[in-house]
Amino acid sequence: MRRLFLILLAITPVWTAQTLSQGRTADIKQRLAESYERSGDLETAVKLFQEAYARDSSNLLVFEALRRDYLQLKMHDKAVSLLEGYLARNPKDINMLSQLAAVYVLKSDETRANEIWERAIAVDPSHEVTYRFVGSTMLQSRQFDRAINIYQRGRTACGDPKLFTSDIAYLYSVMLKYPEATREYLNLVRQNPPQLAYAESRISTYTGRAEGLSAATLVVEQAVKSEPENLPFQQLRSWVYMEGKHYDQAFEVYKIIDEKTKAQGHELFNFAMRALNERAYAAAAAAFTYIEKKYPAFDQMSQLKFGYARTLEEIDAQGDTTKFAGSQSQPERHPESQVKPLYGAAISAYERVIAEFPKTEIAARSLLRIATLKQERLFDLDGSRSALENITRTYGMIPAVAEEATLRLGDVYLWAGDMEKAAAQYKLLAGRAVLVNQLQETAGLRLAELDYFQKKFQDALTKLKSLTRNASSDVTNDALSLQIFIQENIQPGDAALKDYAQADLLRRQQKLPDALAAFQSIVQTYPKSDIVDDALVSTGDLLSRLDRSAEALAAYERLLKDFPESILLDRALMKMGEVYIKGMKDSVKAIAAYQRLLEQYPNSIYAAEARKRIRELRGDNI
Amino acid sequence: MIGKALCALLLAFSVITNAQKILIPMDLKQTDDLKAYGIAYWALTKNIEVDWLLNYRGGSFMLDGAEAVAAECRIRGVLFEELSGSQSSQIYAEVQAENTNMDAVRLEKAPKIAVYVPPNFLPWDDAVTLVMEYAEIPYEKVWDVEVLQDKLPKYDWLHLHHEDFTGQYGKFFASYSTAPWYVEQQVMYEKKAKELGYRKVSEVKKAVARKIKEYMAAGGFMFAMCSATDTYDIALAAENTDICDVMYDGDPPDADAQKKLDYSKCLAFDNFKLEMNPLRYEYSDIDIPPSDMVAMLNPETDYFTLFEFSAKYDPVPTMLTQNHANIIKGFLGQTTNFKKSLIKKNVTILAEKEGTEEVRYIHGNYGRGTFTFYGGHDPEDYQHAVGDPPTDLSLHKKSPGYRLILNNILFPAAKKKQQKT
Repeated sequence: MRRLFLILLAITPVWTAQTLSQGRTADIKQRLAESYERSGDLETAVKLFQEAYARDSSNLLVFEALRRDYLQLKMHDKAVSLLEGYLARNPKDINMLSQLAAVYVLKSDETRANEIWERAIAVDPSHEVTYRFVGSTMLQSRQFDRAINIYQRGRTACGDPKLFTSDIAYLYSVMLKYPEATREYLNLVRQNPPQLAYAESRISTYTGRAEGLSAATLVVEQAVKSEPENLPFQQLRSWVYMEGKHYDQAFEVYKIIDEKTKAQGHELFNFAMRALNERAYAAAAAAFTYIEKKYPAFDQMSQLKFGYARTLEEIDAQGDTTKFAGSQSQPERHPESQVKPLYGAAISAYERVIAEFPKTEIAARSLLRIATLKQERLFDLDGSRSALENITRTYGMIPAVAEEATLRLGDVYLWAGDMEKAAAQYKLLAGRAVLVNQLQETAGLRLAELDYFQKKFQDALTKLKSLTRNASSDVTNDALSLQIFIQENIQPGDAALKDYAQADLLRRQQKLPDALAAFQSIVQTYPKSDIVDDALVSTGDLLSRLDRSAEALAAYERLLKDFPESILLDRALMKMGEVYIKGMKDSVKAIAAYQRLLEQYPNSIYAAEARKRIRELRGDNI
Repeated sequence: MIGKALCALLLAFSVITNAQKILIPMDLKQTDDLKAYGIAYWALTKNIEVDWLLNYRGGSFMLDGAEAVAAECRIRGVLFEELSGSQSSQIYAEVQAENTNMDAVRLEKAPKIAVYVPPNFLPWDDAVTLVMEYAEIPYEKVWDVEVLQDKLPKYDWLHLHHEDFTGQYGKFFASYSTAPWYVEQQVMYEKKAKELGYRKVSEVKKAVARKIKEYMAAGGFMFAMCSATDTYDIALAAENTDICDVMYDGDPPDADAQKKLDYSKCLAFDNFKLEMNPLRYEYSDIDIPPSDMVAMLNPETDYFTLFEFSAKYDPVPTMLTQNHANIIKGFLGQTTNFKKSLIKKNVTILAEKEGTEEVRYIHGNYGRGTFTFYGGHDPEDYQHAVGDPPTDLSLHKKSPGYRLILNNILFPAAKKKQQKT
């Protein structure tokens, strides 16, 4: 016994050293194999890993490396053997079963792959993780349809309809199956309402396509029909309607949303403002009216009423064919305004704002809108002046509005023929040393124009000179244009220019028939003057505005015939083209006019536009 | 007798001298070179005779002087000159004189054009379709289905868009693998491959590449730019191997892929080395400089030079290099230039960066047809990135780089002349 003990004691260190040595060798070989793998020499790496695996098949690192390298080298049969060897010892490893199935897909043996996947599921068919493993290897193998199927099976088997919703929805959208994708996102929202914004963002990836939008709309509508009390579904419905610009339908949904969220009109107000901005005026008007009736204590009533007035204004503007004072038509309009003159409803609405919210910025802006409509669309200069004077008197503390009102008041005085008062208003803005904004620069130009209208040509030129210094200003082009015109036509006997300035003033004052007579008189009285070509163009323009197209064409033709050296000939041809299109509805002659321009004036600044119009009239598909 | 002959000659002469011609010069005077090609094409569709005057004033066009031609030139903004019969005769005499490097080539009919382009949205634009739209040259679109169904023979000219024939989706994986357009593209291509009976997208693309080769062999003209050039040849060479990594086709590439390439199947390139890293935006060493080294290039000094050819003895390369400038500013692409040492000896080099290995523009024959490869993406956008807006060609009416594309579109219309011996 003692001898045996001594023998054992003697050989133990040797045996231990040998084992340790073998272990170290195995470690080194494994590391060597990894180095070969990293350097890309997979064949050598595989040989070394195989040796290591033969020594110790429980080494998972080596197993994984072998699996990886077999696949890399497309040694699919060896990969299958390796995995099956492992599975013989661990038959319930779902992950490895899934990996084995994926290898069979690579071998193009989908039948066998399916069998293995089913085997994997059979290991634990009521556990979520099973389906995740199987589904993910299907995804890796780009078997999207199968992956969806597996996830759906998982839901049923696990008894949890909420499982895998995001995954299935994403897969459907990637496969361009929009109705199915939308249904899944609805499921997601149903299960987890705060996910609404996420669902909208996912659905928006395909609502840019017509088929995606229509599929999403249909599915959402169906969902709402079956679950009308589901608020997030309603919100999604309003969202898809707005995406598709179905404002009327969206409005109905917003009513429901506003009710359910107890938003007291705010949801509807946001919708109304958006509809107004997107020019859906009917829907906007309906929404504003509805809010006012339903929520008389709405906390943004002033903005609401202003928005409504703007909407009525835009509705009337759409049908307004006014070209000059006295030419207003009575188009089809909003029901409320049908018994009122054009813009009557809008003006009344603005007046309500002023009455209900006096001394506020909203009131000031309402007054300004009234003044603008009265001046530009209704030619009611007295009414406009009164409104503007009210602004400058009462709302001076709102500079943005007050300055605009001052400029416009100057224009109204100018239109009314009161030059002194016009100048006074313009000087209030432009009298400062430095012109710092657009309104002030415009006022400066107006002062120059006043001098021109009053035939003080040198004074006008002095003012225009300073205005043309700033090349980046919006008024510079107009200032330059007037400056050049005066310089070209100012002569020792400048009677023609004086008469022209007078006619121009009449035109500015919108007294078109009088302006026309004045220009025609210039043509007759100063036949040799250089200003006659400008007068003929102005004559043609006014005749066109007065819907006397044939006479307008005659005026332009006379210019072309009698003034072959004029620099306005290309402009006249462009205008003839416009008259043929809008006045005479004769596209053939319009094309001929533009072609004549291209032929005779190929370097004209109008050439590109003439070409474009010819192509449009010809119906060229460009 | 002699008198009658003289009278006939005089009569013929008077007819000729009275016949009006329209010259569309293509030199620096021309206001819109790109639309001028469109006029030539348009004239061919109206059975109006068009002569291409090679090397005369930048490769001008001479047309019969119909008023409709003049009107159309005016409408499209193309400069033209009306010539009398004697003036045009003088020009023809000058062009056809033995001691000039010029010639007149009759353009016979408007070529029927196809563009091989996938139906899905791609967030970049193709220079060839852009210029055809601008020049108003009509084309039809084809894709894998049409190619594999042998629809190509009805077209005279085929452009390959920016397709990646290797099946690696443009190697955009590293940057755009999660982008919706990339994901959709891959799903769509895989679905289509399955419908066509192929397991992998790369297999479909190889089949398409071979079909296109058959089309050329039967007399078709093929034009490719940017990545469609080298990937096309790579796909042909890789017929019997798998060069795509797992993210592209679900399995790793063949470890011996490089060794299994068959360069004899390529049209233009030889002995190239594949770029096997799936995350690198490069296909092989054909492209020079490599795509990840373009930061070293200076756009201000990046130019390439067109070669000059004999108009009378080499009309084809002459047609392809017609231009009003022979030094053209460079532009990048996924494939920018071709490495000279990898170009097959039977391929004609049309333009290169002198003194370097960088070849920009090449042309060759295959069977009864031809191919032309042009490196770079957009001649007027030095470095066009994914998502960038398309180039507005109305701002580049005289683009020499774009003219090279249009030369390729018109040249199939040329009447085949007997070569001088």
